[in-house]
Amino acid sequence: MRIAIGSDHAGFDLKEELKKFLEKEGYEVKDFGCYSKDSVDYPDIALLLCEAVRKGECEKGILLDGTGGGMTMTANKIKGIRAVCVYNEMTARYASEHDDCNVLCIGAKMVGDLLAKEMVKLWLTTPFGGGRHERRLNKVKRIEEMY
Amino acid sequence: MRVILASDHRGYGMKEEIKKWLKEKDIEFFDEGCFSEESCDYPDYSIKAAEKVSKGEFDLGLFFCHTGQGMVISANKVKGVRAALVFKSEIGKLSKEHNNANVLCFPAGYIDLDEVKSAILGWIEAEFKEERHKRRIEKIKKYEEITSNKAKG
Repeated sequence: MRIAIGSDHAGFDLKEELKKFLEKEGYEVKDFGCYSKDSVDYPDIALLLCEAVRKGECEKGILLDGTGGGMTMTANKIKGIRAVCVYNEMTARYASEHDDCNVLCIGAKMVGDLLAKEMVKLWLTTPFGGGRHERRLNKVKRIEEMY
Repeated sequence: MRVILASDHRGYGMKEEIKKWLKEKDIEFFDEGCFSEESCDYPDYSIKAAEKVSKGEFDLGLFFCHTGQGMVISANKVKGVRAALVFKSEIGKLSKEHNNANVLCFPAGYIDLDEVKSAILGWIEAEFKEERHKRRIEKIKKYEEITSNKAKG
């Protein structure tokens, strides 16, 4: 599976950690930047990465910033993206099970490296629950068509 | 300040508690539903309330569901809405200062009432003023303009 990863300056260190972790777990990783701790604007990275996920160039994406807020907000503006901001193991599992999340967002200032790795692992290995969750996501698709 | 509330069945109880608190605080609000604990679909309520925030009829949306995530995904699909997941009290303040959030989504199953209240107060007291944060929000708006079906007619 090919996974897109991106961050702003506040998420840069965690991005580097997660890249190594994902590669070790056998995933192909495509890095969308940023490439240093110099200040950048999170929407530039979020839009680039999400377009790649939307087009199927990468199956899933991970976005990292300070609080997780800006990345989640921007990513969900893109049609076909279901971005979820996770902060513990349970939210990571539900991101897949309930929301069929294709872009995982983490606030690097809110969680530690070990928890971040665990959350990524749970998100990648938990299947989507379907059923009533699917009906709700179909309604989200209809909202997307309106805008 | 005018506030609009929305929830699904799993957020209903917390929404009702927050309504009582808003009344005590003398904050004007409108309840978009749902109106019972009977199972329903979060997008049915989030879209209606989010559109009213987007049109400027309300200054702040307070949305509640089990994890808060369904509300965040669906509300952000609406043009002009900036919805943040508020999983602890300080995010209320940060979501205003950094992202000028106009909808706060709460994971009713995983946050206690006092944290929610404190997050709302943090949002009210905070200011969105820093230039770099404004520049970033403008980039989101620009994307919404370019990709909008409505703009294409």
